[in-house]
Amino acid sequence: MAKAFIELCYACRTGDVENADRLISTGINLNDVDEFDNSPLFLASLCGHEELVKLLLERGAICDRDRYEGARCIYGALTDSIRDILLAYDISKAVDISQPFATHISNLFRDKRLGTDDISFNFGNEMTLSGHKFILKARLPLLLKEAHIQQNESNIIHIQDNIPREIFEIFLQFIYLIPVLHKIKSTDYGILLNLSDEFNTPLLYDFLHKSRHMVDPAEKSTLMADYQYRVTEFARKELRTFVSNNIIANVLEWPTSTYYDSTSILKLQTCSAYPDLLISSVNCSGVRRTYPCHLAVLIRCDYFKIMFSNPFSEKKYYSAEKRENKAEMLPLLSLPCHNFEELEILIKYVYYDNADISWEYAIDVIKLASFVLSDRLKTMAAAVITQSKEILESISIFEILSLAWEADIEKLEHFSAKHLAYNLDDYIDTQEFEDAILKSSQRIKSREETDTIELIADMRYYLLEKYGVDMDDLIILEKNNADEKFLKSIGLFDFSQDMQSINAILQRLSLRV
Amino acid sequence: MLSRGPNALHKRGKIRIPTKQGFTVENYDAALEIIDDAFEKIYANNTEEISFEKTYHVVYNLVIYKRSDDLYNHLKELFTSKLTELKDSQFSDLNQDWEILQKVAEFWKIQRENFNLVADLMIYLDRVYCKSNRLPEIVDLALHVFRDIILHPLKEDVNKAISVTINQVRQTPSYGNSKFEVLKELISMLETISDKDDTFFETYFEDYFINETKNYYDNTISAINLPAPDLFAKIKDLIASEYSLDLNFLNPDTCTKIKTSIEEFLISEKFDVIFVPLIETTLKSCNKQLLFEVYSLINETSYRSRLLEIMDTIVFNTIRGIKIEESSKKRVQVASEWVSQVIDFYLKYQDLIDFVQIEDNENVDNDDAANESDLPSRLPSSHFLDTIFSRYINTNKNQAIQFICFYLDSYLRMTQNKEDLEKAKNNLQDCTKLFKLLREKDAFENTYTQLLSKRLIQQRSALHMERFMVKQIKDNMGSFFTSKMEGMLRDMSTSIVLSKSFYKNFVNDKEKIEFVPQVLTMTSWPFENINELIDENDVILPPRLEELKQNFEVTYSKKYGERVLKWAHTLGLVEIGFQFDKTYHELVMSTHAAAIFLMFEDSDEVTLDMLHEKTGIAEQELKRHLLSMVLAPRSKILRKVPNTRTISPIDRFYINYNFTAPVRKIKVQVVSGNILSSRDSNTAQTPNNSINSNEALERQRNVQTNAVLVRIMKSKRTSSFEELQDAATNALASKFTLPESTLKRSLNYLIEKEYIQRDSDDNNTYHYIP
Repeated sequence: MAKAFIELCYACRTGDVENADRLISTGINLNDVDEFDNSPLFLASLCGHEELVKLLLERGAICDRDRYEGARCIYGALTDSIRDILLAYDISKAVDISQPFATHISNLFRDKRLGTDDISFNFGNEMTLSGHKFILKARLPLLLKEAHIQQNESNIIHIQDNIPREIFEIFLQFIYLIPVLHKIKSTDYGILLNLSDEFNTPLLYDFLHKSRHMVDPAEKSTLMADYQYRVTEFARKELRTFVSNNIIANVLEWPTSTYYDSTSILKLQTCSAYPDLLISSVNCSGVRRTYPCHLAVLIRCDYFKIMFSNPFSEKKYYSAEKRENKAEMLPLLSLPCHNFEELEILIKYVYYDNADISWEYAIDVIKLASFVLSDRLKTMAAAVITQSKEILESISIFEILSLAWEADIEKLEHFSAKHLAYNLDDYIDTQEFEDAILKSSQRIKSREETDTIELIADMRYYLLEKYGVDMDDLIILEKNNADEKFLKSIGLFDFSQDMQSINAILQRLSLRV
Repeated sequence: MLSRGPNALHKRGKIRIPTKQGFTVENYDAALEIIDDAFEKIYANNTEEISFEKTYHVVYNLVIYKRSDDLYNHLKELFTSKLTELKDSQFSDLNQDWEILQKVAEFWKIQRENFNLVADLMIYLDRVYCKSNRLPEIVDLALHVFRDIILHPLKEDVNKAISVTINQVRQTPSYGNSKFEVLKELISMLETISDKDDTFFETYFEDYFINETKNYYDNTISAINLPAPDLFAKIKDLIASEYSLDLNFLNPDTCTKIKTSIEEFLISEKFDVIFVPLIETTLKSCNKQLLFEVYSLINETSYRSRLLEIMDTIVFNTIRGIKIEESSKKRVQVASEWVSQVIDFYLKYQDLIDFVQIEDNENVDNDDAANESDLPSRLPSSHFLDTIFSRYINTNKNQAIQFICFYLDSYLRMTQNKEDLEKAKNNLQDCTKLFKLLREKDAFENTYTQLLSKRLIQQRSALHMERFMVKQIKDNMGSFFTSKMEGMLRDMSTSIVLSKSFYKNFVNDKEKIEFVPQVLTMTSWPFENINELIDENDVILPPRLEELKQNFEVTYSKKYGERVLKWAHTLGLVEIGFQFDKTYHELVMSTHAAAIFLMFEDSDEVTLDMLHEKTGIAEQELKRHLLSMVLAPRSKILRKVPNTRTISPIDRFYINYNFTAPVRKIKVQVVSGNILSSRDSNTAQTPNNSINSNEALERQRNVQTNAVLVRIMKSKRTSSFEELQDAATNALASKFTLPESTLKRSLNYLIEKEYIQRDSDDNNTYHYIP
């Protein structure tokens, strides 16, 4: 069984939403079961993690109450509200739900407000459809090839007269990952089979073949859910290939000391990725890299979305470039990076939800994600940090803590507080610890809150957890006359020892709690 | 995959700034210049010249280098100075209301866009600084500045201008079309901007506007001079058109608020002017729809109960207006007219009230469960009416009881053919609505039983109708009241069975006398002085009747050997066919009268002595019967010599062959006592009689009170007088209202009989003696 799936099952038990989201993004089959026949959805609903149940359903976990698995989820639900969520979930809608990257690509087909489309399909008459070259390049390369769309020469594909616009639109919607399987009418099968054969879309071909003679609606719906999942995963693979073969492979690299080389820039602009935007960055060694990218997917980050939704100069430039199709310079945007790895992780994330983040780069990813305003990538990178065993060997816990404050990641604050609490002896006498407490207390000032220092409060909580002390038992300490042995036996002794050392620091810093 | 790049963990520190405008703490001013520049460009409508990337980097660095506070405050200053400048230049000389509104709306439109642009440029500050420090986001910050600098000084003018404009639109609706867009814009502005934990709209505008609207409609409605229903219709139109007008520029919530506040205002301020006359009219004209509208409009409890009070008074006054002709001799006719009028009113109002679905929530809860279960068919709405009608009926309860009984009596008597039967049944059923409202139910029972017994003995009604009625009474008042009535009806049925077996055995065909025996169980029948009735067995019947009597006695003793059969001739009736000179008549008379009349079979001339000797009837009694046969104008079947107005021993009697009458059936009434003028037997409720029945009623009540008291004391052991009174009144409520005198009499009786005793210390406390 895949390690990721077992990790997902564990996250479903503990209610770790961020981690689960990250794991789901690697393309795990959510409707699989573990060695005890438990599905992730069952575990999450049994353990009462409402947010996680919602996430799983959003990402395509199936809860069919007519089947054993679904019924088990509903009966096992810990709370009424989870049960209601499960009951309200409609299997017929299930195919409409998918991975965020797929949803985004679907929206690209429907919503053309930003004008990122760069190719149109003509059907003899004036009716046209439009699309994105890079999507076709990734998902339907044969069509591009056949239409001789090389580089940025032509923007129009003429569709044969014998293919009706409506059917080609369904085909295109399939390419754009819009859940259309249930919309296919029996009369469309012939042409669609031809199309999928001609342009090599094996999944659609298989599905059409299998479902063609299927009568039972339940069976058909199961088949659709299954294929929709496979289609999404297949598309993810295609996009992964596209990114590595056309974006990463085409990257332009030169030292910052030299000037732009217009020939290589031009080459980059007309490369096989069909870019409409160049992303450039300089790493800590002074090397500049420029990646050929697409605004259409970059707008998944609010940074780009806001930049191009408003009438600022970037938008003006982009539109003008698009409209006039000049072979001039594409818009070039720079991002602050430390290494190029985090930039590539970001690119992989926006194109196909890649969440495979190595712990070495997690901190850099958080910084970059924070810059481009992508909260989801930020929390997924944070989840990597909390899961990593090695990270603290190279990076100090205080660095993580200060990042948590800087990027406002509560999960990392808790992670740091827990680590400090559990390893208090290692840190109690360090200057960094004192600084951290001081910094935490200063954060309060700006918040104008009551007299708690968040770090101390969090640590106190984890100290209680560490020694297995019940919150109610703290009254015993106040009585002052309790037997030391007894205190030791319920962990209160150690707890109060630790608290005393912390209080000593607070006193030295003349902080009042 | 996880292999570490050689440089990955080196030189970790702050993120490098890649742009040429690389920011350091020292050139903070340069950074602010970029911000200022962008700000000015937005306000100069040159947004396209701003580089988002560049500005964003500046903001990002300022935040990273902990200059967020400064940036935030700087932005606030920028907005403040810009808006102050614009206010002075644009809002200095505006006079006309409409001009102000247009200007503000236009200005708002531009500002809103600018605010959003600035906020988007500052997005990093928003996300990282404002959120975690719980400060208003940039847009809100700008809105606050806008509120304080632009809106607050203008708010009175704007409010007034809106209200003036809307008043114009109300008067000339066509005027509105061009205005709504601006108004909508303004309202959305007021709703967007927050002030004092709420939107500006709610804090400063809504109440003002609602109040102005109220004033407007107060003036408008006061100026209308129309009769209540028309005025109400007009007001409804006004409210509806106001609502649809408001929907053009306000949110539905506020529209509803305005609507309800106008309604509430109307109800509270104009209740007497509009609603009181309106309710009167609706009730008089029975306009269900209108009443329903009024009722649903007035949904506040206090006004509802006022509405109900008014309805109560109107209904009560209406039914009290029913005229009773006290002077008329024809009591029955008066009674039935009264009852049918009351029933008509009841049905009319019930229909009305059922339609409106009035919930009388105050009283429904208080109804005790027992009462509910006794009256299963009862509608919730009828409670309201029942209270009113009960009050009316019980104001003159004796008369009401009498009238209702007469009414029932007359319907039970009349019924012959089938159509009438159904109609009568309906009428009777409707009447149940009234008699169940009577408080003195036992008095009703008494009177009804009297009349029932007469009908049964005289066979004036159909038995199945009587059963139907008794069942109605039972359903509505409980079986307690109907045991006697049922006993009487049962007697009648057994009598029919008996007569069948009698005919089988004894009657010969050639000389057929139709004989209808009525065997009455003594305890069921409401006769006073039963012993007097049956002690007259020394009467000598004519031989053929005597034969019948003896034969029947044989039949009866065969069937019920151990029962005693006694004859009550005074209750019997004899029908004799006789050919007078001109006409043939069937004479209906009492057994005694028949014995007298049959004397003429043997002799043409009869004297008082002869009669006394041959019939054995007492002299007084004889005189009574003879009087009615000689003198009663409608049944002068005998004549006497000398023809005087009194009966004396020397008189001789003959059959009056000259007698004739327009009807075939002649009833020979028995004149009671000295009263010579014959009355219809239906009005047999002579004063004498009613005193008797009142005494009986009183006796009966005493017995019941005693029983109830003993029952209460037995379980309570000790009780105060008040407690006892409450308990006893409750227990007897379904039968009659317990007067204190009856209770006291009963208590004294029980103390005398040593069922209970007074407490030795406390006169007010009683103990049960086991």
